[in-house]
Amino acid sequence: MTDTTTLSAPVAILGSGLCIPDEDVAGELGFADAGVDTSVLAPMVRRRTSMATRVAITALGRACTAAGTGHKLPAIFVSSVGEMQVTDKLCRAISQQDYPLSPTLFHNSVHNTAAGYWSMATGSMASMQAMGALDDGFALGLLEAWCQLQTVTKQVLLVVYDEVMPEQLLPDYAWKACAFALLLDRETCDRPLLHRPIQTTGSDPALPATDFPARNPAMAALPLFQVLQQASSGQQQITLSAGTRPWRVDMVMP
Amino acid sequence: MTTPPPLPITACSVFSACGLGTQSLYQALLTGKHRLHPPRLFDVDFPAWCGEISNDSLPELTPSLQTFSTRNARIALAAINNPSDGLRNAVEQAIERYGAQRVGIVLGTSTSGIYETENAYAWLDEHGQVPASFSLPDQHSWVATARFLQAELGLEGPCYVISTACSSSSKSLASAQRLIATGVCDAVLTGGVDSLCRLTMYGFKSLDIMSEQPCTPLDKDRNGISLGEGAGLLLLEKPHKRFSDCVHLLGCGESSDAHHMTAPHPEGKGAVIAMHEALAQAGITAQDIDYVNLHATGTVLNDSAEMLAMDQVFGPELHCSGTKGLTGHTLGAAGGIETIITWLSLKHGFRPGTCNLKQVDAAFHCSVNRDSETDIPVAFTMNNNFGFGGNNTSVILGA
Repeated sequence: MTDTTTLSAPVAILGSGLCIPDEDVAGELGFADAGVDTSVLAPMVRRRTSMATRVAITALGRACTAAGTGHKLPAIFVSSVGEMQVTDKLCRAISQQDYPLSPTLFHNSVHNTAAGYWSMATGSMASMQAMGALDDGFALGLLEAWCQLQTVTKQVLLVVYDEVMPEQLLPDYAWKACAFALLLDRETCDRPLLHRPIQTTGSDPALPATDFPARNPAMAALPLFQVLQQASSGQQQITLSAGTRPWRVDMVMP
Repeated sequence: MTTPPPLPITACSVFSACGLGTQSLYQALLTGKHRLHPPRLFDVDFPAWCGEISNDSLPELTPSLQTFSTRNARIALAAINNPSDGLRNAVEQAIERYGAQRVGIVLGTSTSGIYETENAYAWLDEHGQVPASFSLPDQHSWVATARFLQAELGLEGPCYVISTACSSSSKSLASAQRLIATGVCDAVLTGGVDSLCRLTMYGFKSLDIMSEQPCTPLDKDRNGISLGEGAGLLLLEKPHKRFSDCVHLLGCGESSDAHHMTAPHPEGKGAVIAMHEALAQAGITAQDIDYVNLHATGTVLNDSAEMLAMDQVFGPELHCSGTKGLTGHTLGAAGGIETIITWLSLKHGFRPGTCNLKQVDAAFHCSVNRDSETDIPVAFTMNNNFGFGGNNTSVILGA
């Protein structure tokens, strides 16, 4: 057992990428060229994939391009509800007893759909993780990535994403599809560094006490990506989730 | 990098068509009589068999946590509260020992509360809106059942869910192992829970892999799967001499096929990688393994690919079996339940048989156990789980 204190080691961000298909939303947030690019997928697969899978794969592709490496790495896919548009179609078919179900829709409803298509497109035989933690998703995805980097891999990809929800399930809110991806490396270097995410007490006054479901949970990655974009040097603490015991991470910009 | 140390499994509990608790499962494995019957929870328009838990045996959630009430959550609650396995007591002791913030929860599930979502859509058709009792975050979202258990047990550590189809809950064991190995947590409640629903029943039917008879994994005449439901929950803690008598989690291996969304790699290439990784992390060789619980779903392709992979890792003397003929394929809970079957193998010195097996496929070279064997030394076991998306996991336990 390694001493806890020796394992707060920071990890480096070698590349980042995002996808926000709605140009107005991307523009408001200060991001350009954030549209969908699934050229990594075979044309037949591309037609069959949901917006959730498309934004996730787009963001991962951009993170790999920015880093100049990474397609064969282990990857962690984080989403609060995953393939909800596909699931919506299946649930409607079930309620109408419209059988048989579409086999393609069925296998594209699993949470690791994006992970499966990414691994097939890149030929990566490494571990593909698919996880969910609602509004803590980005924080705990970072924690999962950090743990993997300490134990089983030198580099890892992480993407957090969510798509538009069916209106009848969240009638008062209109999530916008988005995805944020990082390529993380265990060796520190002259790149932005992230320490181990920590859970703190005391909510951030800048965030509402409970943030779900007012916005897409993947938007929890926004503060970190805004710091990356500003690229101002120095150390700062970034809030990763809302609530009374929010997750935070110390980030050091070179 | 730090290789995760052996971690003690300080308590576990299970609930399936074989009944509540590890002792019921052990007895069912010894008897080897399947617990499958046609679905009762809902009607299906084709012949099917499944390992279903009766509604009468599902506890109600406490009123303050009703928002989380799903079939999934109720199955998990029954397993947690089962007194004979003492899992709840062990979790409470861990909270006392380390503090609630040091105890995490990482669960696997492939269904979460989708059965309730299906019911909400039926209501939607009739009333134009989903029922007031439906909650997307607390019932349908991936983390819903884990958040329920976190609240029910008063845990304050990291809480998340792994959902990689049929490998979900063996992958949750690997994540839990890393949380402890890196010092993030001192104890993690892990494993998985899945519940029957129309989406999986009609979904697998659409792929034409539902057996019309109770499934017969590894048999020369196998013809598809029978679904099941259940929970297999385990408490992992950081090593301590007080736990020296516990079965330990020694190694996990995870890989991808990079081949197809539903079909396994034809030579079992990804499965071989996962098994080799698990052996390397455990620091043992294939010759050390005394029993492998195969994924063995009962489809022609899955079992053939897995046995080809087994041939590449193990010799013909290796003893293995598949237990989904007994429980049904519990999908996202399979990793938890079947890891507990290997835990039982270590605890009792026995190797389970392969329920419903008449004649083993002649193409398989490893020694497939048809009947249970008792009174044998078992020091190391492996459990395999493989899922859609070509997602592979192997988990090694040691006495």
